[in-house]
Amino acid sequence: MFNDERINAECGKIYSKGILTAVLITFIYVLSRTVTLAIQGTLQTVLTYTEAVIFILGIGILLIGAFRFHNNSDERILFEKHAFYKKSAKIFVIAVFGAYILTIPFTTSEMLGKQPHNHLLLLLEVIGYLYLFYAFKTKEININYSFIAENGWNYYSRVFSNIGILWIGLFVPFILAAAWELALHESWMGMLTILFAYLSSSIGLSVEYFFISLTEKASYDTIEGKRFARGTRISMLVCLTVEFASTVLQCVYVYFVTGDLQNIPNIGNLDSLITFVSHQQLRTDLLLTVLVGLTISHIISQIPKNSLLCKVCRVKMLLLALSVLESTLTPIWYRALSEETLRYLSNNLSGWLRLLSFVITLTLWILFIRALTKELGISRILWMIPASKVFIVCMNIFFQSQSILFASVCISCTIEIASLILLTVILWRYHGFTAESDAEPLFS
Amino acid sequence: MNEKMKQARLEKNLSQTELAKIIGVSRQTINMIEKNDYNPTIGLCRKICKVLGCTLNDLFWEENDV
Repeated sequence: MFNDERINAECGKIYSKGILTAVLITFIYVLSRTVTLAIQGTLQTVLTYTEAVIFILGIGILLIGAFRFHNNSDERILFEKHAFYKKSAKIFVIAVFGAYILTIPFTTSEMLGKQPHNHLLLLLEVIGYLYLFYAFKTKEININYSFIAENGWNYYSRVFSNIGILWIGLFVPFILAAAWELALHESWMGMLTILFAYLSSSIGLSVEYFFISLTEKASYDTIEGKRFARGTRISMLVCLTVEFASTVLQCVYVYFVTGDLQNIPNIGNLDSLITFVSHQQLRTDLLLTVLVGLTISHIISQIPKNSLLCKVCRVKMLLLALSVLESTLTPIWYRALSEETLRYLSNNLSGWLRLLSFVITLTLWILFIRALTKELGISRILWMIPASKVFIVCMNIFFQSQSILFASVCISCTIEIASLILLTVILWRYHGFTAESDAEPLFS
Repeated sequence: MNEKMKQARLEKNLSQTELAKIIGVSRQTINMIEKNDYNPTIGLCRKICKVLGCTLNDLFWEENDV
């Protein structure tokens, strides 16, 4: 039986910090929404059922853990503590998702204007992925650690059996929620919507889990070579593809929003189409955030922990999480502001914020390229990437006219994609890791 | 680096993966113990010693430790 004390100990720590993070993020989200609703004078309820479960269960687990295991010196108590957090984290996730699904029929009305009521769950899901990738890979633990060493057939059989368990596990609360919907509102359409949500959730989570398992196994089997592990390279390639899709959506959005109405073909429901493209772009960006997080965590697992490259990767992971938090909370904060304040902020502050964001991005790129060239000896041609970013900004300063905005965005996006293709090709072809004399993988 | 453990493992003709499988832990854990990046419990040390046919003194105690 697989029972690794190091992994149990690390998982216990990772899960306890994960629960704390989930409670803190929920607190920030709820506080932002409550203040906004109070300012608007439309505050009816402070917490949704899901948020209440997160607070009660999360704080409860952390308090019980703190009181029950305050004496950390005894090894047996430490074992119990780690096992407690591992089990509690499972219960926490099941309870939160269960509460969310079961209460769908009671929360179909939107909480905050156009804010969908699963917004918080989406935020927790994306930050949860980033946190788990980072925490597991920096501790050299695979997510499928208990069967990663098995051969391909056995490994993927276990992966698919886990996916089967996921489908069955989600089926129960969703079917109950659908029955609630039918009994409460006598709405067949509502029931079908919930069943459709079951299908889309199950398919989405299965594809994510399968992809994570695929890259993990590919990395595990090839990490001893001189190249970036195969899982890392697959993640890079998928990132590039999703970035391309996101870029196309951005160009389509700008084309419709800034285009001359007479030149746009006669499309019915143009407004709905623009909203649809905008939503798809947001989703693609969230997916891209998760994929970039996965790729960086794979890179972290293959480089020395005290290197500049590793530090840059850690900062990037933090910035990814902060950007998701910011993009979720900003629309809520904006609703609390009057039109005058928004106009003032738009005229005076947004330019400075964009500049700050650019400076941070550019600094991180410069440090990343410097670390790649100095520590891994990768080609200096990569300096073209930060140079191209500066070029794009200069171009956008000079070409601000509405009539050439579409062309300007297309050129910017093409340069961005070209930079990423260059980075992917160079990292893909890299052969510079030193092999260990023991023929055992060092950074696995 | 825990050279003594690595040496004992190589003398038994075992790779990190094989040793990990026998004990029921991950390859990474064995790797980290050999690199002195993880401080294992006595229980795990005893399992390793049993498989490698050594004592705790042989593998995990430094000569100048009391």
